[in-house]
Amino acid sequence: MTSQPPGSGRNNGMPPKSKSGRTEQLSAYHDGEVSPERSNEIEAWLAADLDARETLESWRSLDDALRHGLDPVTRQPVPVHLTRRLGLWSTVSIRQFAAAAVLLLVSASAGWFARGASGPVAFPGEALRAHTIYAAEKRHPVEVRASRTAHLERWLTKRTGVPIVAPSLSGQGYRFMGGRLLSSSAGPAALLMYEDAAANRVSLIVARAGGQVSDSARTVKTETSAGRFWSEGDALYAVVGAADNSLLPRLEDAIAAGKNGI
Amino acid sequence: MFSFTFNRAVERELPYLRRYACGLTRSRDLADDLVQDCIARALDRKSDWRGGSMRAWLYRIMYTTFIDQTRRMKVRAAEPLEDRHHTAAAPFMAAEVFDALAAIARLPAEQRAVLLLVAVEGLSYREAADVTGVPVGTVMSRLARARLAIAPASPWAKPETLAEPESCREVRSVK
Repeated sequence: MTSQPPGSGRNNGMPPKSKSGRTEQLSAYHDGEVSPERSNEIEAWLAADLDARETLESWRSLDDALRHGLDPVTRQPVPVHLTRRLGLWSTVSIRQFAAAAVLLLVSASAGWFARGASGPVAFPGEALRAHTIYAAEKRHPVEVRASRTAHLERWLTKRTGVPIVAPSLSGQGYRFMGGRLLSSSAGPAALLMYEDAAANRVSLIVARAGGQVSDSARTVKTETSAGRFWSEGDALYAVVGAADNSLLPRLEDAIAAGKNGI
Repeated sequence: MFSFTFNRAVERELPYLRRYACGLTRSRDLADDLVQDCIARALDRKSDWRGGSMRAWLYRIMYTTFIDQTRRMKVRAAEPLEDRHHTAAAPFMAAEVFDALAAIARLPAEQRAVLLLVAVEGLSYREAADVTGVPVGTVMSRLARARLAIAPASPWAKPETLAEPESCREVRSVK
């Protein structure tokens, strides 16, 4: 019996005699795994059986509660230690970087982007520099404040040619401050700035790639600032903060997860 | 297939693997441990992957890993989950969600696994049968027994006379 496909008609339209048989039929009906004919038959005996209808209702509530409880997991950033196992992260962690106090020249990071010359190759250096300059601003760190987020997003989207939506980083303790337009060798770029309770600032910087990107994320670091850089579709992304900001990979996770809508 | 592309394909499924693992273990920490073991096995068996649904392939690895671990622990999976990880899971749940997850945690591992595949992960019976390596009929009966054990409120559904063959012993350990 257990090897029968679901929905194969048993007992010629009558409810199966055994409770387990009836439960299996009802359960398959609940999951939409019975044939239309069988479905009609089950609905016929459901109409006359209040207990069965209540049972079905309790299963629906159970499924709803499980989905309701578990679905949010898919929208949370995947912990870094899991993605790192897949080798999609640079093998050197930011903490190791800091411990070694390595000054990684930005020019040594060529190879991240496929070709030399201007454009994307210069992007990491430009992003680090822009963050260093604007994050130090006391009065005018941003050009358009977070209170006008919708306007800011429309404006930056139009100028950069990349859909710009300011992701929420409140889960990581960062508040959105606003943003500005940057000039970069890749063309107009967007800078979105965030601040935590201790006034540590980070910037998300986005520019159009122009088709010259590789797919792997990497870390670039100078004495004062560090950034995670990655590309997706036709855009380059950087999340930049102070050199000792160990949250950068988590911020990257949060941003990338939000961007993919998962 | 280039390993980079393979790894990317695995990475894309991680949010769904984590959801499944959270349902199986009812604890973020245990879930991420399970995901990690699953990734390690997937990388080991990379050459076994024949295309098709990466998610289904990974669910299968996760299912096997989970069942292996449950058997090795030689305890009913509900016990460690109930007691030790009770609080770890609590903060992210509404009461009815907590109750639902607590209820499925008391099920035998095979029943919980198949219920989650169908009810939460959205697999068809055929797909769930492929993932768990059993006939479709066994998927049906496991689901029915799981639902009877969890929602026995109705007299219609009271499981007192479950006339199922040997695998039914799982149910008796629950009640």
